[in-house]
Amino acid sequence: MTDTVLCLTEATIFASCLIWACSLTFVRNKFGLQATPTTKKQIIVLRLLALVVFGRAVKISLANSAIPDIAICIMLLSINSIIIALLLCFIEKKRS
Amino acid sequence: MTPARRARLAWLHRWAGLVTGWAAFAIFFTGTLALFDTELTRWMQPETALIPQDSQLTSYAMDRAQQILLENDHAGAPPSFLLLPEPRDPTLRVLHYDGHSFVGPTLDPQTGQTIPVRQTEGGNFFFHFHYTLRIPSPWGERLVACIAFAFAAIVFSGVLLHLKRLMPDYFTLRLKASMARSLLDIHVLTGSTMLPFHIMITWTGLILTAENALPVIQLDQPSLAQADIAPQGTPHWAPQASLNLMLQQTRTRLGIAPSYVLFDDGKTTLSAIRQNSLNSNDLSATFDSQSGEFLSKTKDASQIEDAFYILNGLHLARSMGPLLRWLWFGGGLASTIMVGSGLIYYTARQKKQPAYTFHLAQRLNIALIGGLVTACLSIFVFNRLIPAFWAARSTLEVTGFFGIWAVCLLLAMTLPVNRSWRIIAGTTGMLGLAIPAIDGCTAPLAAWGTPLHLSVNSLCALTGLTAIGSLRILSGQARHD
Amino acid sequence: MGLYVTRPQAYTCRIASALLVWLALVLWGSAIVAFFPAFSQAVIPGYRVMASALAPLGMIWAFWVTHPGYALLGGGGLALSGGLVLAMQA
Repeated sequence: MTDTVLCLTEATIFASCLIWACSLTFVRNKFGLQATPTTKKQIIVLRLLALVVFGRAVKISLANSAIPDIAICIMLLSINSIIIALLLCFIEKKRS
Repeated sequence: MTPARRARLAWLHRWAGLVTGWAAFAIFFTGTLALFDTELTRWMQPETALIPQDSQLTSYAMDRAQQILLENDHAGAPPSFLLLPEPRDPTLRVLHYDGHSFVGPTLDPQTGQTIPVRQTEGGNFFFHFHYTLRIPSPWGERLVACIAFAFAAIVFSGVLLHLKRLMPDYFTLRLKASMARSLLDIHVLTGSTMLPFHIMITWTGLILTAENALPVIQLDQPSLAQADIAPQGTPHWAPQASLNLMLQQTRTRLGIAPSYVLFDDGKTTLSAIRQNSLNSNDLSATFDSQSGEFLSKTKDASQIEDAFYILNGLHLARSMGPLLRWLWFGGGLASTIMVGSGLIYYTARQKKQPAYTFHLAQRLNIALIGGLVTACLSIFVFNRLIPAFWAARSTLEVTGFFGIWAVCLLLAMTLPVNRSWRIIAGTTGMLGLAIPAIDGCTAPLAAWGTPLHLSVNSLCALTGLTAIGSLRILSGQARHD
Repeated sequence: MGLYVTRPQAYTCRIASALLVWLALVLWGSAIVAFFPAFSQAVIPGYRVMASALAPLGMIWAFWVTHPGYALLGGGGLALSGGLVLAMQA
């Protein structure tokens, strides 16, 4: 896996995590998004989009052998989730 | 799930976690360090820093290694093996097991000259500790197997308990909230985000320890373990035929450079680790040790066998590239934090109803979590402070590790909780920050700027800063209380 | 202890059941290996991979069932049947 592909994979997975985070109620509340009749549909669309973006990241990463590349994607997904949780935690700190 | 069922699973999660948690913490922490065992050995032998990372093995160095093997054989030494240079360790090592660890000369792969390295267990210490807890065989392995099974049940019960809130709380982390809430958030966050890693590492760990935990009972046949033991004591094990020729043939036949050479039963086996494959089934070529005649090479494994080797490879992480190894390191660290935060949460949650188990758990948390980190840092300090050519320095390092850990236990059991934590965290902080300075003073100039020394020193300093940071959290908490 | 108090004996039964499930896996596994002696080198890793995956489920099952007696009975029954099958192979 070259550095470029790694960077692109990482950026795509980060984007996928971010999109999924936007579908969660507590994150939406944090950004002051009010619940509307279309909220449920928005959430479904956001989650589907997050899955599609993650699928795209897996496709980007598949360069040499499949198992190590998929393992890299899953681990990046986990680590990016922790990074986003930390970022969201500090955003709350700023607002209070 | 009914409330009664939930209460039962919570009981299992709490008590199985409390009973096995401290050992699980030690297993995860040392396992995480053992991912870089080869690199840690090199850091603990700074004399090897003079060898360039991309050194090529010369025929002269291989002849010199063969000469050492023949000398060892004639002196009646137990069979040795060779570790050939590779990017993780560019030296040529001639090692044998002395009953405690692997020892033997380290050679320059280009000139064949012996490098005067200090004797140390290096990263192998953490690897050995990870699967035995340094308890004599087979009891250590059996205990680790039992803990692995309990841990699997803990993970599963944790998932069932948290299943309903898994999605809504996925990114939840409230570090500004109360201590207990923050700890629970850290525990759940590291547990849920790293769930694929936890399941994979626990399952593959169970498979690796299954020999001890899931024995095969045979009522009317000799045990397979006994039947599998190769006949011992062949009079001469060192190869008479040229190792250089065998090496060339192996490169041609396997298509990749071998990583290690074993000598057994009149045969010489050159094996190559399949880099970046996650497959622990190494490719091998076997030769007759006397004539040098090619005998056989590894047969292609069936798909089922390959699946088994991949499961092993996922845990052993021997054939991983640096990126995946670092990601595994992150996963191991998250697992360690998950276990540690769970243990501390138990005491933070029960502050309102102090009981005997609460006090004991609080003190054991300090001794076994804080103490282990202090002891691990101290082994690096001992490595630099014990004179390089003392004969028993390797044993002294290990004794120092357990000595420091025992002192931490004594402090935690005798002093008030806050005071013992301040002393242990303060010591960890000082050790962590001192290691880069000590390394700068004692390692050769050429080693200073290498990525290896920069990474190890930075991580030690970061651990020190984290320990000092925890003192500030403790002060804030004391004011809050 | 909260609202859902469970007697300590009930937990003892469930822990014993979890251990019996583990024993059952060992006995059934050994019986299966004894049934295919020619393929023991292939069957043993397979048995260990499967048993490693099943053991946590079995241990949790002991705490999942409503009545501790059922857990004990189930674990004991599995272990006993495994022991019998293994004894018949001998």
